[in-house]
Amino acid sequence: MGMGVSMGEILLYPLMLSIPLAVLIGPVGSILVWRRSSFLADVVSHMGILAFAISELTQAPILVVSVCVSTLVAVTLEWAPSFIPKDAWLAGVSSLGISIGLLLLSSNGSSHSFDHVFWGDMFALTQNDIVVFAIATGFLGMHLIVFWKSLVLIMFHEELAVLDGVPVRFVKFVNNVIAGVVIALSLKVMGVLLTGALFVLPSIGLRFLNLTPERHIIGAMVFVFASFLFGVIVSVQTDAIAAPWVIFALTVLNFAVIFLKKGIDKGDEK
Amino acid sequence: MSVFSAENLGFCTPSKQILDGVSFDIQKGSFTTLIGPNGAGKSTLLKLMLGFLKPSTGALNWQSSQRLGYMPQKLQIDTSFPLSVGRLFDLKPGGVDPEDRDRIERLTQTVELQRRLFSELSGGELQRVLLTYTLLGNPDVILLDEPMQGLDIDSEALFLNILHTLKYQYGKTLFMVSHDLHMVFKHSDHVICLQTHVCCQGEPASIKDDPAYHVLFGQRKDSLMALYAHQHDHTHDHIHGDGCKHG
Repeated sequence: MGMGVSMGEILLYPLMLSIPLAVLIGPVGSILVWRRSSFLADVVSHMGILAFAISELTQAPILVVSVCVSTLVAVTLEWAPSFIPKDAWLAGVSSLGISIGLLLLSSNGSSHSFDHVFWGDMFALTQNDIVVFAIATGFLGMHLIVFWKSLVLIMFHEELAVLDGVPVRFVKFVNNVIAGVVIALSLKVMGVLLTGALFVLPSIGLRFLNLTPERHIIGAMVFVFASFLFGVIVSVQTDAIAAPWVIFALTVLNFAVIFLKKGIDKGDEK
Repeated sequence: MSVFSAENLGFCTPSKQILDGVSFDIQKGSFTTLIGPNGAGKSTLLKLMLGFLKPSTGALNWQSSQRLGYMPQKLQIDTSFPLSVGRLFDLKPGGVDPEDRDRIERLTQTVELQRRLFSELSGGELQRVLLTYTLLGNPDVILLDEPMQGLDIDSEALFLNILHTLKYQYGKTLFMVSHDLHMVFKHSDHVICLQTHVCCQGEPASIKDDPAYHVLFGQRKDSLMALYAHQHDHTHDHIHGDGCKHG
């Protein structure tokens, strides 16, 4: 933190980002978990290393490269050979992406620190980042308005959705691309190692509340928003990396919800 | 009148011939059952009939006016997905007349399940909910993939009772894949034995005497028919769900 920079200035962009970040991650993360595609969040975020390497080599903006790589992963997920299980396919893609990324970085003799790639840096956000997140939020909102009903039917049963006239493959493809883009955007604040957890963790505690899908998504937004704020504030106070604190807060929230629900259920039984 | 015909249908993967020379018809208003051992190609045939797969050889034809309904064997829904039964029914594409929906829900006894989540349903309840969802599309032909697998006797009897009503009261055509031979011979009016090709087909009574059927199921048919035999060597004073008193 530079001298002469007020606390308000440091916190401004992270705080501004907290709302679109939560609005993006709440639905995308919930749908990933419901579609049993949690691993996609990890795979796409790990591919951030490859995106970083390509960006270093080509001097292309990291955000653009990350979005391209994520979209490619999302596309390959739908067009994976049918004789390879999807989780094995994604594990292979992830490992290959990390390996190629590390090889490119070592061959390039890069002397840069990779810390921000691994852990993210929410205090390096710019006004452009906020605009990009806001635009992504708009696209996600449109996607959900148009395809929400189709997504629910697909998550219920893909073959029945096909018979009901839902363009299953197209909706899944669009959803995967949007998920890939949102994960890629989140890499800047959470880094390649912990971004996946930010998408998956909120659904663990919320499933105990038996909410409707829409309320579950709103709950996930609240979880991400609260955890992110907690991480930012603790990071500023302790001068520690923020991402692990965000995950710590999410975990505590999950336990709190689970214990609270169990306590209420026990009380009802009495 | 035939609503479906398969002529010399074949399907193969690069390593295996799954179906070969399969020919059969489905008559309007009939209750046809497809039986065969594991790996006989039953699920593949169903997928071909539904258009999820394309045949390698031969042709299949649905009468153009027929609306198809499909009740899958397994549910793909993740247990963490908090979808209620009523909400799923609300989402049925095409819209459903409230009176029709009410009539179907009463028939399948799912009225009281509306607020329940899928993760909270028993096996029998789940099958009735899946059947209800299928019926909301007002299908003429209903294809069922092993709908009674894993159900207890009471749930099975209730489910069969519903199928009987659909066939006799509403004139629906039923095509079912099943392993449950006692049920097949008691309730179907046409049976198709499949083992890559159609080994034998016809009325249940004729199938039981067909040598191909005995070759296909061998000793297993005795255990698979145990329940069927059971109904004839004991005295029962309770009424089964199909409305028949056995004794």
